[in-house]
Amino acid sequence: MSAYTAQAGVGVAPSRQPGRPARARLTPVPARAVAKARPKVAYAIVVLAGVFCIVAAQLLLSVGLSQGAYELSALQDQKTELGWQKQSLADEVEQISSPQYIAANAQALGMVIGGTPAYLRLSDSAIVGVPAAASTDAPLQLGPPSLVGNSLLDGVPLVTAPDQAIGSDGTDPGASDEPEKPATISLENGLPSPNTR
Amino acid sequence: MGRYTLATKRRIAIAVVCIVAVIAAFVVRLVDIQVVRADQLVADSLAKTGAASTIYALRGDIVDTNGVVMASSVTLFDITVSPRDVTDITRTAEDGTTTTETVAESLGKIGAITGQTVEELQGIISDALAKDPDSNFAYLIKGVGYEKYRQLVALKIWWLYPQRTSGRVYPLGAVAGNVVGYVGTDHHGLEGVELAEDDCLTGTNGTQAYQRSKDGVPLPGTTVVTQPAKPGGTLKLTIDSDLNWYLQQLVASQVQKTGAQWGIVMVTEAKTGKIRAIAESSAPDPNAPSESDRGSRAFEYPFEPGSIFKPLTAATLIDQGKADPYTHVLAPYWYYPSNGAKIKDATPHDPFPLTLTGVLQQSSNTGLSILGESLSAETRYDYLDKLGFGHKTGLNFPGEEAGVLHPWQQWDNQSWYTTMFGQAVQASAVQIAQAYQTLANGGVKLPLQLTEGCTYPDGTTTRVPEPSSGERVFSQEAAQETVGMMETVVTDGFLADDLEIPGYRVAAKSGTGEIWEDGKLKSTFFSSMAGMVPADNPEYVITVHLNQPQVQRTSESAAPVFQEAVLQVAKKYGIPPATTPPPDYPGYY
Repeated sequence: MSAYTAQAGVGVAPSRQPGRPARARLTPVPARAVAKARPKVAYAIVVLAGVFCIVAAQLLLSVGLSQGAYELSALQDQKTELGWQKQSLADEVEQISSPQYIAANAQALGMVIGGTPAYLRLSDSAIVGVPAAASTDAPLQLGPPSLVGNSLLDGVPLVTAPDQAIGSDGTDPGASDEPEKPATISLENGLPSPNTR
Repeated sequence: MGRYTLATKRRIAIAVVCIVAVIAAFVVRLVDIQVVRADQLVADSLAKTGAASTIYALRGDIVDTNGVVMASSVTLFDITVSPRDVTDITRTAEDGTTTTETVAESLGKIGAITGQTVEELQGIISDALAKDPDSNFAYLIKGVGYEKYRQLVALKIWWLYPQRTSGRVYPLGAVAGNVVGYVGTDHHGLEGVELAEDDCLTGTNGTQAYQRSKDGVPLPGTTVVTQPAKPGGTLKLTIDSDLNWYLQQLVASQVQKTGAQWGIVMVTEAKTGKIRAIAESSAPDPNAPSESDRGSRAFEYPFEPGSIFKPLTAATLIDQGKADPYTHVLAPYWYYPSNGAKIKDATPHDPFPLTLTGVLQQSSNTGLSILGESLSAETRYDYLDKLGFGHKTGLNFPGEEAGVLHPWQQWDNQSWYTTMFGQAVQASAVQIAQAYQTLANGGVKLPLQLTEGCTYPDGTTTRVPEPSSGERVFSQEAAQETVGMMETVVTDGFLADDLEIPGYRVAAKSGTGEIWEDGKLKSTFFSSMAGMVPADNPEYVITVHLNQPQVQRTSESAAPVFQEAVLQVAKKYGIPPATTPPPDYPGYY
């Protein structure tokens, strides 16, 4: 640029001088070309830096992602474990909610089964039914809770009597007296007819 | 081009040739990898990084009518050991000191959790090593629960390997264990509704595929469910577990007291046909099924029911217009019909001037035989056939027996009469319950129900029994009058003291069924009591059977069980005491 400026400064109109080919004239490399070359390096640096950034970011991202995978895996394992634990506790609740266990606990407290129900009608204060106190002298006494077995409760101590457990009384359900051998009936005195009520 | 020198041209040509050559090489390699060997390589890579796992579908629960869990599936653990690796363990404490834990100590710790002795555990390991010195697998204990598993893992014994498995638990134990049944090692039902409703309960396992890293962690975003798991449905029974437990306890107590072989109590809803309890004294604990008691005797064991058949004959008489509750009959001790049969009553007596009501009340065989002569065998057979005798109930219970009701043409002279009072026919407890349901429901037989439906996790419900308007067997009047006659069994019969419940109207009929074995009559009986409550508008049918009580051999051993069972039903379902008087049909004239 300065070269042209200097030329112009001579005051001669910039017209082609005859007889002198323009090409033959030696001029310095235009500064513009130098200026053009310099940004190319900057571009390269920018591009390289960009590539480097992308690589680094991807690296970090994948590290983070795989870290997340481990975390996810650990949490999933934990969830599974907690699921098992929950199930195990729920099972325990179901077992100790079983009627055998509740009845055994109630019996350990000395509770007995109620008798005939009766109702008090609020509208006219009438007693419906025949009220009677619960007693232990019912004609049919309930046997020990072990009559209806539950192997899940074996050895589980009662809440109301921690030194006892169902079945710990050693009763063997069904083991009654040796059944006597039933006599057979002969047909000599005519056909036996049903003796039924 | 003309601007370049020859040397430049040559350089460019060489460069182009090189680039083309390199590209060509890449293309060849690419085709080789992507096309020629593609399948092989993909398979190899998947084998190295891909993995598939099964998504286990749990077997569905069985719940009672109130949603109480009677059977559920749980995760259990088999504890296995690598016998060849069983060695002392060197442990480094936090402060750097090391201690050695001997094998015996390790086994002692394991045994303390699993409840095995050191010798037992040592035996398992040495047995495995004796078979194969290089053995790396043996079960120490199968099916431990989560709590024990956690404790075992915490022991940090490296030659111990827990394996996950699933198991089935029955939290209520033997409560209705005969109905629930149990599963085999393959988690399919072997007995009871576990078997009958196996299709409902069984889930379908799914599969999932994922890519794993070197250490087995699934790579994020690679898990693909290739086939979703379909868990089994929750099966709801009509059984009420609390009621069933009490009745089981009750009947088992009486079985113990009377030396009977076993006993059954059933509670059936008269107006729906829903079975609320099948209590059997011999019900197995499905958690530990025994060899002997497996199925349900209420379905599998037909017996000659005896006099609990009489109300059915009485209802037939009334329905056919041949009698009413007041019809007179003079009942002798022995009755010799013209066809040569010989009928007698249970105990000797002078001829009784009985009404049809009295025949039921006093359970007179001769009286019923005389009155029943007015019905043809075909008619009686038709009624029994309609009531369901000789047919399975349609509940599709495994091992169910149809009982025996011979066609009327095959009845011999004796059984022509004895079929009126429940001999020479065989019925299961469930069939008796069905017949009494018909009487209690105004003569309309409803299909019995044991299950209420199968609900899947997605909310769909299948196998809900279709509502049925039932089948009329007796007229409303005939059924009602029969129930009225049965009330006098409770108020005036010979077991009245054992049966009456103050304030309530109960209808019942006793039965002492004879048992024939190898052509000989046994001196022990099938003791039964069947009836309904409240008698003025029956809601529940209660049937009790005891097989061969040794003391109190007749129906008197079933009576107290029946009474307590009716009381429990009245309390459980809040049946109000009666406000109307019983019809009080006269038993004598």
